Amino acid sequence: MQVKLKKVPKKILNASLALAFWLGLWLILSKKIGIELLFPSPLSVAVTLREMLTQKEFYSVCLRSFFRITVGYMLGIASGGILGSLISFSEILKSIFKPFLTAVKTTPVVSFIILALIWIERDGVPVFITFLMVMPIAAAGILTGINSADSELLEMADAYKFGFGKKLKYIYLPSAVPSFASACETAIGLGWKAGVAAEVICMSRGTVGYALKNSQVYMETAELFAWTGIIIVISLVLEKLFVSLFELIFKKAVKKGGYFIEHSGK
Amino acid sequence: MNIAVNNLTKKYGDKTVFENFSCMLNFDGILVVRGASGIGKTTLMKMIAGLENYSGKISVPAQKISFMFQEDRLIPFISVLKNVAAVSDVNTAEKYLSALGLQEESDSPPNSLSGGMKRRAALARALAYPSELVILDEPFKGLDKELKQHAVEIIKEESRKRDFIIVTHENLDSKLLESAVFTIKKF
Repeated sequence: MQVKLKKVPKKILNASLALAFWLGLWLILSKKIGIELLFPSPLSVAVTLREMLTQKEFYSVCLRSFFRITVGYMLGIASGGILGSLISFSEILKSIFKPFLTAVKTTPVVSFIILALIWIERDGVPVFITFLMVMPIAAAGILTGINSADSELLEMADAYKFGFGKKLKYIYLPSAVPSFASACETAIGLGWKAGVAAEVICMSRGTVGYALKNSQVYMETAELFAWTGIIIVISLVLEKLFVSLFELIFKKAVKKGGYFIEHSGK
Repeated sequence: MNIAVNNLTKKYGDKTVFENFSCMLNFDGILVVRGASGIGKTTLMKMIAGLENYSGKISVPAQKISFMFQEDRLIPFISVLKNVAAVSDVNTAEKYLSALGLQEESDSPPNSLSGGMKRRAALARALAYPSELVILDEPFKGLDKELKQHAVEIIKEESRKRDFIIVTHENLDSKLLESAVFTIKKF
């Protein structure tokens, strides 16, 4: 009798192989080091993670961080979008705000976190830092998109005496949408990482960053690993959530406006 | 129409396209502009339409000028109908698209059209714009004999209401259009 084995999809097989490789490497390293406090084994991290998942507080901690960072992200996207649009059409505003945006992009995030701790309330720091990290990316996305508007189309618009509103509707806005959408997607991961870093440094109670810092203070290395895993998972969930949300908004807006625009995002 | 060009000078960096160029374009209906490639036909048309800076004086007795570029320059983000309606209104746009045989393509994105269809859509836009003067730069590029003849008939019909300047490299076009010819030559 012949037994037919179901073919495992290549993608799943490759992912399983990669997971097995890294788990194996982790296991070998933890065995080699031999001190759980320094480098816990995958099993002890899994046990700690399971314990964490049974606690009610774990979920409120995750939700609090998720909510705060999302607020900062949304504020960053909205203000970056507005600022980017304004500086795209005004040389004076561009010369005023470009150095500010460059400074924000190049200054280490930790400097802003420490400064923000002096300026604002502890719990507001992660929101502010996420906003500050996301805003220049969103502004740059709009700026790039508007600057990339086809000069031949703009000349055609001049020939047919298009007003600013018509140019915005038919040329600038559709040109800016794909790069702004990409910028928004890129900013998700960065905003989340900066937000958690702010929570760690400012010790904002009841947040993922606070829990991470506590694990380090009490030398709960397995917990530290587990929280890091959770941060990665939330980041991925956040990214998927926002990318889906953007695609939905994008498709609805494109359909409503009767546009033909390719989404160049992830 | 009487277009007067006086002491026109146009340079692109070190390259001089026109130097103290003067002419009088006096025509009624259609004027075909010819000249060797690179002599400055398009540049002159753009200056007449006010799309290029220059030194000298050009007087055009028209408030609104339609300009069909050598490239189609259709907005890729909106439908063919919206492209034409953007310079006029939906009814006018539909009228010219239908006259040029593009009614079926009205709701399609410009990028899905063939080269000849795009050219006709750009022509429809130039005709739909409520102008006193229509400048067409190589309007028959990519059109087969039959479509070209059809476009010529529409232009001839329109030329009863307003004036046309047509830039073309084909000698036959002026015969087809039964028009006056202005040739730019370098001396």
